[in-house]
Amino acid sequence: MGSAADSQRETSRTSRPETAVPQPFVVGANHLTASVSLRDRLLISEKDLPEFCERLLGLPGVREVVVLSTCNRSEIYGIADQPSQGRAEVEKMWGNAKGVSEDEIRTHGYFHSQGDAVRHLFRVIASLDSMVLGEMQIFGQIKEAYRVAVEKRSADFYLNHLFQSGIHVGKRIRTETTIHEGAVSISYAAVELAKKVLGELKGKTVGVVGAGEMGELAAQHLHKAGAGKFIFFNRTLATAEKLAAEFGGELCQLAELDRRMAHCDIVVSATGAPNIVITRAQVQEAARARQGRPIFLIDIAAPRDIDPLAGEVSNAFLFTIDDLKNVVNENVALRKSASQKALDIVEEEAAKVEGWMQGLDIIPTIKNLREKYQSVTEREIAKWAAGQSEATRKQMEALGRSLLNKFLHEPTMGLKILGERGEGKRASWFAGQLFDLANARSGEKSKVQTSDAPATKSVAASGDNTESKNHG
Amino acid sequence: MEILILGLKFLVPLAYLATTVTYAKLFFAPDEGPFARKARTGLGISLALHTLMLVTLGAQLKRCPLGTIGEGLLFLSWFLGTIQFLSEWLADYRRLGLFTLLPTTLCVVAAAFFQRPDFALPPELRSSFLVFHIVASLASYACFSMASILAALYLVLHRKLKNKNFDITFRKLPPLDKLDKLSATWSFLGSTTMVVASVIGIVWVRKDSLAGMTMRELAIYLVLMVFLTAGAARRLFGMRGRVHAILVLVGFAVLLLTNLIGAHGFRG
Repeated sequence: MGSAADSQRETSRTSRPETAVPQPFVVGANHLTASVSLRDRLLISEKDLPEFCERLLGLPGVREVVVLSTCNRSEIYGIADQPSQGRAEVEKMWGNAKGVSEDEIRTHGYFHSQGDAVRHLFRVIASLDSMVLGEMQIFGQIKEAYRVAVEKRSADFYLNHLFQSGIHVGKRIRTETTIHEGAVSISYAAVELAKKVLGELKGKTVGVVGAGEMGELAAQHLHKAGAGKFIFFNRTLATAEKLAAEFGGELCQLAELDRRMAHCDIVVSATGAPNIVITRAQVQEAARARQGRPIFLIDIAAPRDIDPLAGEVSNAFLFTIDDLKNVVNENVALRKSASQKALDIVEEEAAKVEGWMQGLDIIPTIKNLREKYQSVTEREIAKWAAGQSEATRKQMEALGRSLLNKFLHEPTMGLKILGERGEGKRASWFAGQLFDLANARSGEKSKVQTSDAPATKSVAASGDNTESKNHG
Repeated sequence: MEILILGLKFLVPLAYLATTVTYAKLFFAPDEGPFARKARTGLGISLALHTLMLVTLGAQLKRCPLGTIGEGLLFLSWFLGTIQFLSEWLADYRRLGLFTLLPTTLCVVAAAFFQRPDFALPPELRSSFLVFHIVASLASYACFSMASILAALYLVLHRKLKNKNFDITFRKLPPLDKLDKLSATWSFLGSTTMVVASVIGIVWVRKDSLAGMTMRELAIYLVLMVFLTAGAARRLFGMRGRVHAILVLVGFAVLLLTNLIGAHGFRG
């Protein structure tokens, strides 16, 4: 199977299509179409990826593939002579490999071909199709999927162009839109707000009150954002020991909060206490001891841990989970408003790729045209160069090449322009009729097959004779 | 030369005005991309024209163009523009361009109304001390302007944080801590250059006796005292943040008022 795939890959790599131009397609399932359990079953792990690519390339009519598989989507981008046939083959193979029926993939998945496949890829790269609009992780995941495909040599001429255009789209989205700006998760919103008050969090001290899941999550985000030191306050030290070990922090009894709060730049409170844990007086005392340095308080407990009046203390900034939700909602709204510009970029770049693909329709015709007149030129040169010196023969060959290029330049450019305008098929037919390309190929082949060396010699000889007569 | 100066008198305010509008768009537009480069280019062009204007004016007057209020405003605005230009290279300052360029443009426009080409320096002012004294004074004015702009922005952001108002201004302003530190830095630089200007003035005019100081001079020392107090309180008693910002704004308000009080000491 491997060798069949290899030979097919070699064919696609070394030569471009002779008659029909293959088309891109995508088969996949994502968070919008499939359940988590189905997505999990369809997931292609990093370990299985090389073998999976090999198998996909072995499918009839499939020339190139890139496999993208993340927790939210699994997609196979391919190039096939007939996208619908490619789809059927890919679904069958994928289903067999993962123990999922083809029907299930078809019902809970999607298929796009040609321009729609290009648009789909660009929308995914632009994170317009992501669970969290504007998240930029997908850009890195696609780059990685493409890198693996290039490494495994499963992406070639067509997918190279498609994915490189896609990466360009991703870069444009990042620089020209604000779709990725602003936190859209509660914990990240807390980090952003902390940065708005304190600047960089590097080296800042964080006090975490309560050793529950919420406190741990907040500590994780703040740790990731560069917070340097952690103090964990809890009624029972044993519960907070795990957290202290994980973040290299200090353990303190809740009673020590009075004394230690002034050392904290950020205080995250997430206890399950039914009453207020941090009072206004405690915050006021801490703020006074901090000599004007701001203190950032986040209350993510329900019911509230921090006295709401603590927010009135000078240089103390108190935010609750509702405030963080408001930040997130505003950021989501901003991202949505920025998504129109991202869509415009996707459309603009997809149109360029479509133009390029349409231009490819004409490539076989241009190739045939060139081959026909090249063989005519070579024949004529062989005829005229017989008996001439090596230097003269070389000069004649150079002259032949130069004339060929000059004569074919305008028709070639004309055909390319028509191809890019989407008139490739009509132009191919017209050029075929005008230059008799269909017959030319079969005629040339039969000539080569029947004549070979002796016949060529005789033609050359007769030509020589004719020319001698003419010259004479 | 005169035609060039006349042309620059129109071009410089127009260039600053266009640049300020671009910085405003940069600040208020959700999508900054199209305006960032335009704003910086606009500032570069405005400053180049401004510098050319000062040089040409100096060449025409055959003296440093610091004799009249108009010339002083032209120099002050040049300082502010240069500070903004340099700050963009040194720190993430671009979004604050609107707030620096707005007073700069106002100064340039006002300068046009206070120009007195026929003004000749009185003999007692024809001293190189004058150039150093005024340049140092204007530099301190520019630094105090920057400090007060940043202090005002600090108070705006402080209020927005307290009121939980997460609008576009909130998004675009730098962190509170950064505004506080920058304001303190400019306040310190302003105080230092003002001390230098005062020392030059004393050495030049009052080397024999400090008696007979004008109200204006005394007011200037009051300004200096406010800023030095703000700096010292910050350093010694940790009076950062809101208190520091208010003190800086008070100092700047007094500085503006001094310009309404009487004539300067050299006539005394």
